[in-house]
Amino acid sequence: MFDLIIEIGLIIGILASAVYVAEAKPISRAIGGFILFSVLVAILYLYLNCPYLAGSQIAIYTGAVAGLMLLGMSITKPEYPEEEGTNKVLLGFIIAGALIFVSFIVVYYSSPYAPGITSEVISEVLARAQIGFGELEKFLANYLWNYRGFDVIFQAVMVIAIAAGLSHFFKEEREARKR
Amino acid sequence: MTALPMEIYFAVGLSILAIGLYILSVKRNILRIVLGIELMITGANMTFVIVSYWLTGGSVDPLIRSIIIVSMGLASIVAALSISFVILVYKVFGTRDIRKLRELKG
Repeated sequence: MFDLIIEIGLIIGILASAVYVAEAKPISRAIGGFILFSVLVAILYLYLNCPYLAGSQIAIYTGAVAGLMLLGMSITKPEYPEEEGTNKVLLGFIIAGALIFVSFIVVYYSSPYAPGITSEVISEVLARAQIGFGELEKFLANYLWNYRGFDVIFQAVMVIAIAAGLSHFFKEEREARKR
Repeated sequence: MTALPMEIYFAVGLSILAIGLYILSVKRNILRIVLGIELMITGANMTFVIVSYWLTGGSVDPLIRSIIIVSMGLASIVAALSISFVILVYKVFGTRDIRKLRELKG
């Protein structure tokens, strides 16, 4: 139970510090988040029985890379505001990731009906490792397969989102060229 | 073995790769982009270690460990070169904003 709590805390800490590196406004705080991230990854390596990797991670990332970043930050002048309006892009990334994940699950479990070797390769790897996905995932996959019409709709939404994003990008480029 | 299933660790490694990709595609500060590259390299290393631990069932292959250590060294070289590039860009353009480098277009 104690191990489980530590591992969950470790995973949450790693993900939170990575997001903090992306979203912290002053670059100095982002570098601080990166140092925390590196230390947590080193602890994860220790957990996976790799003490030398953990030592290298601390020495190289927390020491050398973070030191170089701090040097670069201190030599160059800070600018505010750095970035604007990135939240919508983040939301778009999350939605696109979720849609891709759902599509992947459906294609993976419906391999007899859909062309492609992805599911066979993954099944082979899992069979060699003697690991199964479990009952819950099978239930979820059956459910998704029974309602695969929704999957088609999601994919259509994704294609439309990609088309809208591309058109927006090209529009911005054209306006920038005009300016 | 770990208490959590390895699929979760695998997903964490891939998520870190995705966060690095997000930084590379959205952010404008060159220093932050370098941080994103480092995050992506760390995510790739982590995924590599986790897959090895997963497939061998409780230990990491020594070959994988040596590859990861070489990769970490290469990451530090990438960081050093990138920082020198940042300093050069700041010297020439007076900014850390990557979009202002579009003046380089011919």
